[in-house]
Amino acid sequence: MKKYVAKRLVISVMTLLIILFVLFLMLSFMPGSPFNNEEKMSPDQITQLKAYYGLDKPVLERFVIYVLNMLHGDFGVSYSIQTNMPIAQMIGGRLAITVGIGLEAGVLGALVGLILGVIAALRRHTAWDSAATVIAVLGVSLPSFVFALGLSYFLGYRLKLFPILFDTSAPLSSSVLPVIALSMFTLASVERYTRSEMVSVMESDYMMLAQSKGLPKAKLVINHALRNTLISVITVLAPLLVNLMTGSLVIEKIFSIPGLGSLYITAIQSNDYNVVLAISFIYSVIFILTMLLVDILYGVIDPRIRLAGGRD
Amino acid sequence: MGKTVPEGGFRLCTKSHEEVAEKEYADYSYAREIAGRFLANKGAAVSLVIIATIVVMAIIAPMVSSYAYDDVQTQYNNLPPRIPGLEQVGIFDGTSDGVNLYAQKGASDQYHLFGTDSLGRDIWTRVWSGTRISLTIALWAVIIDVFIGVAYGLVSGYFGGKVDIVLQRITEVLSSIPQLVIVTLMLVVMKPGLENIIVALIITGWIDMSRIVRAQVLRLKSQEFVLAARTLGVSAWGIIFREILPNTLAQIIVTFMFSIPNAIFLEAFLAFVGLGVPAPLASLGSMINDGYKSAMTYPYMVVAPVVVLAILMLGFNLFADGLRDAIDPDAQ
Amino acid sequence: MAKREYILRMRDMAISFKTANGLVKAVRGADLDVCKGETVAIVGESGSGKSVTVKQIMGIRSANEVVESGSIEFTYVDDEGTNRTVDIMKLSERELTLLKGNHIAMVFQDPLTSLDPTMNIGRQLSESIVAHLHLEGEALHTRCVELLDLVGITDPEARLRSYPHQLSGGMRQRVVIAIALSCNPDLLICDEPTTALDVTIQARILQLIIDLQRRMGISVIFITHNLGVVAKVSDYVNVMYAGKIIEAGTIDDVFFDPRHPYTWGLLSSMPSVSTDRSERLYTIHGNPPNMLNDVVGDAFAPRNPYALDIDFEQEPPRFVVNEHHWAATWLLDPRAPKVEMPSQLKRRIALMRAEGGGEGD
Repeated sequence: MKKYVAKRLVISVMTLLIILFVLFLMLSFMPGSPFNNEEKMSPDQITQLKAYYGLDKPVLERFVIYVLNMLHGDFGVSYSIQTNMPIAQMIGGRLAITVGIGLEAGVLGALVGLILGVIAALRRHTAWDSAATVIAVLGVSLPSFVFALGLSYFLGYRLKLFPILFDTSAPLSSSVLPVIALSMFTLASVERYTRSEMVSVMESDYMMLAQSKGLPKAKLVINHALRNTLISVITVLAPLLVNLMTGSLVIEKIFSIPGLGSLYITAIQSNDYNVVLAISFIYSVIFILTMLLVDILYGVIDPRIRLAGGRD
Repeated sequence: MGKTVPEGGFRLCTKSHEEVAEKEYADYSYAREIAGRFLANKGAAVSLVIIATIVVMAIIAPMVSSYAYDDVQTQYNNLPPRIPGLEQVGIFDGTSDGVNLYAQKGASDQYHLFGTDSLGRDIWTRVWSGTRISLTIALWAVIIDVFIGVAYGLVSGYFGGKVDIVLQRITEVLSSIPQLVIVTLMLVVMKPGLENIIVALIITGWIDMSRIVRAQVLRLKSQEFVLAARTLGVSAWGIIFREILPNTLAQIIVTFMFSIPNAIFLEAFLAFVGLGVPAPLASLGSMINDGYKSAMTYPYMVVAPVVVLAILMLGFNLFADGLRDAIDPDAQ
Repeated sequence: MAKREYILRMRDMAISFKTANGLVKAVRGADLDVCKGETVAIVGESGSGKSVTVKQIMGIRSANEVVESGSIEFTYVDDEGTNRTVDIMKLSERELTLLKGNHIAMVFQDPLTSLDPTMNIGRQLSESIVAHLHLEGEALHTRCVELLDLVGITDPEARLRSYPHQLSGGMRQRVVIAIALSCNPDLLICDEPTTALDVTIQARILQLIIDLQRRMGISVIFITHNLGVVAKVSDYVNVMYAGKIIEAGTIDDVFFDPRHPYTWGLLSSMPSVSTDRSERLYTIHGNPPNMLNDVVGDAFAPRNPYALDIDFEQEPPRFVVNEHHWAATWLLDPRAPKVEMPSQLKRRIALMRAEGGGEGD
């Protein structure tokens, strides 16, 4: 098990470095200028500015410097959004908000989805099952815009149940709508997958043997069916994560949440390289880190991996 | 015992056994079976209708509309929907809070089925031409991705060994970067535009297809009919195209169908973060981007594109689902 | 013969399956008798309905399965010591749970998929013991070790902590047998327990079952398509074809005096070491019938070289051969022409008798 984790860790770090390099390269080819009003500046001024920010050095050297700085928590400074403001400062609070909402949405979606999926599997071909299928299809197909706008219009504007814009002074009540909107895809995917996995588990040979032991139904479901189902459901977590990330950008924009996503959008539109780079990298880190955690989780739950040292 | 049976009944049967019907098992045409299952699935059948309707509308509506998608008439801006026929009944009659805005702006002779936006452009026309663009982008991206993905997966899966390892490493790294980031960065570097968006979508969309194809190839490679073909001397490419590909077709088609709503969404998403098609072109996503801020006061501006986008994605997802169930019915 | 005490009587079992192509009548009226301490075998091709029939005893049914008719009288001594007879088909889910794993147990075909991959052996073994015998702690542990030992697993203490994927197919099947025997059942059902195993392991597992049965006096229902196994293991044989039992008797009856042409076919098609090399291998012509269609007359008629005209019109009733042997074939009707089993088979049987009754394996 330890070998398994160590191996995955090393691969993750290497991948991150490669990603960072690729990102770095891409940005150094960006047309347009990171400075505001470049047209109004003289060539000398531009050269001076570039030297000041270290932009005149070769790409490789800049990359190495960047990585070293990063390890100290220094992501450079913003050029255009808030000139010379250390990016680390800009990102700090926002990161917490974004990750917070993302986690809440993910956990909420997964839990509710799991419960709905189990119920649907145990009560096949009943009203529960049909309702669950409808929820699943809608949740998976409809993009986050729909839920975000729909919820904020009906529950927020019309019924005035929850605030329609995020408010740091009332973080709890104003995150209800965004979290629900963000969680829909996760909910639907988990529910769907749980249902189909559970159904196939219930029909498996080992379930038949467990049933032949004369165990009470509850025990059968919880001890045998659920555990095996969970293992398979974990495999769906990767696309869910992707969706949570894209979804969070949409949600942050619609609900005016001061998170990483909205900063990202602003940075893109103002060509603020450093900010774009930093946030892109952070998204990648979050992604890879979560995948690593999922892999480890897999290892913990599935004895086949825990004891054998790894899946093929 | 004791039944009255004709004496002859106990004669040894002289019928030859081959005559006795061996027509025990009917044969079904594979394609017909799949089509039958597909159409029996209500969701799938509905999706077919949805997709067809939207495609037709996207093609025809902008052509027959009396407005062009970029007809800027600021004097007629922010008009609510007005639909002939329904306005008689009191809904969609161009009034808001009791005031007839059409009359107010001197547009009593105009009908805007979905209303107008902040620049006075007809939303109905923009929605359908936007759908056209969204669909075009999605289709181009997905079709090209299918080719890339299938080729990649076939080669990686069939030839195995070093080739496979290298190709898979590349895929692993590429897929570790969230697609969001790659696409965003590409568009930041290349500047948004119709072709650039398609290229950006292509760059990241093939990975899933290649994975699925590769998995299928690996599964088929070890089966006996492939071994049989090899012993008969069929060349590697012959095997790939004649034995493996046809058996992978089902998976490919299903994945293809699922990729379309994905691409549609990605494009809408990009538009929403400001990297969509440049004005005055409209795509569903850019319309949502334009309209969402005033969603509370002028809901119709954002409702139309959102609803069309939703129905479009729902339709394709249902279709892909139905297809997958028809080809490989799970224990349902 | 000692007085036969019935512990199971199945009558008129008819099961159908709802499929996309129609109703498949898999079992069309099967009867089964099992007496205390005996091993009853059910032999038949794949698709003959043997598994489905026997699973009814455990109440194991698929979602699309329909019970058309049938009763299963099961006689046992309950936990308080009283003799009871119940109709399993009429029991509620809860009542059946009290019997399963406790008085009736089952061993399944594929050991590689029968065990829960996420639970260790010890836990899987103790589940029924905890549920029915209410043992725990030290007593539970001892019983588990005892059971593993009983089925011939070495180093039982360590094995309790292992997971299924760490054991070979043969060992997993032993565990499955241990689980089945854990509460000292009255009736053990074995559904092709050795089919999925290597040939060398097959013999050992079979021997294990035979020994255990003798030692513990359990009654066993054994399903197989392999006549060689039947000869080794059982006292009584039921031959099943197309959802009905077409011949039944002791192994002597069925092996030395088979009456149904299908049984002749089965016996003839067993390759034997002593077969004369010049003889062609015998096969039964044709395929089993499609159970979607209603059967008119004898289901075996289309493949039967000895079919009578009436076989295509009316289903043959059972004809008694002796007090424990019957066969459902019109050939036994007094009005039927005298037909004898193929000479090849006759010779074989004579050889078998000479060798002392054991079929070559």
